[in-house]
Amino acid sequence: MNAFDRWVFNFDPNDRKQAQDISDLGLRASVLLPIALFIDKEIRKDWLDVSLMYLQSQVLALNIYTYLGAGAFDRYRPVTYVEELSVEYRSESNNARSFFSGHTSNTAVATFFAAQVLNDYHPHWSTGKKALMYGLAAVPPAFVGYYRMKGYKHFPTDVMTGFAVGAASGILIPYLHKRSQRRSNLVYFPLINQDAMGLYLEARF
Amino acid sequence: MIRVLLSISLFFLLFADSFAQSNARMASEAIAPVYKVNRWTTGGTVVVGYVTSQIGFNLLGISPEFRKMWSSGSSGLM
Repeated sequence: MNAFDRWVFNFDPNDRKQAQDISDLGLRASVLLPIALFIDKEIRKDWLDVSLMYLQSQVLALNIYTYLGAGAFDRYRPVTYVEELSVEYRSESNNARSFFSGHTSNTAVATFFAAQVLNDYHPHWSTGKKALMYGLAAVPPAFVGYYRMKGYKHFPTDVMTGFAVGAASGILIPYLHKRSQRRSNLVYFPLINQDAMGLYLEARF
Repeated sequence: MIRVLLSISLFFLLFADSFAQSNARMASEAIAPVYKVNRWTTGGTVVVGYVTSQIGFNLLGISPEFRKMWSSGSSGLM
């Protein structure tokens, strides 16, 4: 095991049950978070389309988790290395699903999806405000991921992978559904003054 | 004289075009929906995706032993 992942053993194994409960609670609250999008009148008008896209994002992450994560890799959870616990408990079949964190992934889908939809419905927002939305979206999965590690369910790399998969799904699905808006990147208008006559050109990249 | 007339004509043409583009952009931003969602296709992928994830979860993720049988092919599941 790499040194980075061994960091998880700094947590007290006796706190793991409480940490698992907190992470479960964080997941449940987060997956319902996109409902709050419907407070916005414009988004509420498209509630069916937005809901379908959200389910599609979650299902995409779920399939990645199943076929490229827990179903494909045998990685034992940190709890299996805790010698104070009984062998029966440590050898439960579920303990081979360490890679990657489904809790973190599903939480990230919900929050990054919400951020992406909000940004898409408010194209006039500044880049800083849009970046802030993504920054806020990172907080709940980071919180859940932290407690998954504290609960001896996952290593840091499992949580990081789950975070990346979830964020990608949450952003990618709305992005792919986004109606293409062909706009001219070229702005031009004539310039005339006493000394010169010309053309103003502005190209955006 | 011709140069002046051409310059003025060009000015008005460019101004009119720029104004028309700006108006069209504003109009499209106001009425165009943000997303293009085919509800049947998207709903279908949700249902199919859920079923495949559940199948995979139960076949591949249920236990390490089961996964080994799956990966070893005929010696396991068959």
